[in-house]
Amino acid sequence: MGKLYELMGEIDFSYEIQKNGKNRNMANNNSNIKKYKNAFIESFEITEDLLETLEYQSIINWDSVGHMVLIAALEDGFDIMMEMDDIIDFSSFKKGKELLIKYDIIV
Amino acid sequence: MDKLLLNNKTALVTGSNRGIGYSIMETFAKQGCDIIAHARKKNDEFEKKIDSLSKKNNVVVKPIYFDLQDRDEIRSEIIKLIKSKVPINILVNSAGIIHGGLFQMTHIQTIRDVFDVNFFGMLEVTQLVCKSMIKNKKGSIINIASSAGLDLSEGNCAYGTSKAALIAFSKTLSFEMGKHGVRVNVVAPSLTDTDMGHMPEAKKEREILSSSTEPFKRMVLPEEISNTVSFLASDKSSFINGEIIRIDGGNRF
Repeated sequence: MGKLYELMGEIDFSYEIQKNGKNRNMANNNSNIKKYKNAFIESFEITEDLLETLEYQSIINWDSVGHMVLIAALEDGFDIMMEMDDIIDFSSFKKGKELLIKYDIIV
Repeated sequence: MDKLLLNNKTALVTGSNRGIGYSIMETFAKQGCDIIAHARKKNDEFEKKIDSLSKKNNVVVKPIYFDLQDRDEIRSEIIKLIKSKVPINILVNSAGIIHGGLFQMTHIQTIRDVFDVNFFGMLEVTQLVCKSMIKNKKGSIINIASSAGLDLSEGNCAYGTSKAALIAFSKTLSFEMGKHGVRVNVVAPSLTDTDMGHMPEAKKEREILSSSTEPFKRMVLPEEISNTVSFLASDKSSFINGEIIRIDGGNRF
């Protein structure tokens, strides 16, 4: 009791703000790359050295189930909701960086 | 005193302003669950009811409004909810509309409208809420179908088939979400003693029931459904996934 009330009272409108292109993430590149890498490292339980060449289904943990875990981690980390087309197109570590630009997140 | 079944959990219940949805909300509140109560349109009577429920049971009940036929409205409201970081532990898809009639006497548009609410609107809500549950690695989704979706007797080309689609979808979702620690189950009640159960569209079922020789010659009571839903929502059913539970007193027609 109480927590829900507090949270509901503080609904974050950053989704709308993002749509207007004013997201504060633009000015926060260093922390963004850290968050971006951590989402992969934690979702797939891998080390950082694998990231640059990482592609969908190139490791066991990045299967369709792992993909949804990664998307949930990214959405939570960057406070965004990705469109279905982008979730489907998110085919590699590199491609993901391109897609996040659409959400005003520079990695 | 026993620990409340749904203590420290938060549920989103669609269609909670009346009927089965309201009964589920009432039962959840009694079990200590905080609730995000959905209705199609903002209305004062609904807000008074949930306020009273909240005070009576010392839980938080907050309204959320969207039309299940309006994809943009659903997305906007559910995204706001998810971004508020409220952990949604339980989703009950209870909202639905009824239609009865022979296929040859039913406009295709009517079937589309029924599917929009009973199936496609539910898909939109569920797809977004699943994101939150995947992140939390836990959750329980309960879809309110109907025995009409299993028996599919005549006159069920819209309502019955939409509930059959819901049942089939729930089965496949239970496999997909089980991998993320989220359970998906269905309850399939027969004719229920709610406003919907007394509508002209359900006349035929009422007549069959009144002339029935089946063991329980009556409609299902809403609380008989909400008690089962409450169990499925709780950790007491932690290894039940992908099930379809009939609540019909053994009646088949």
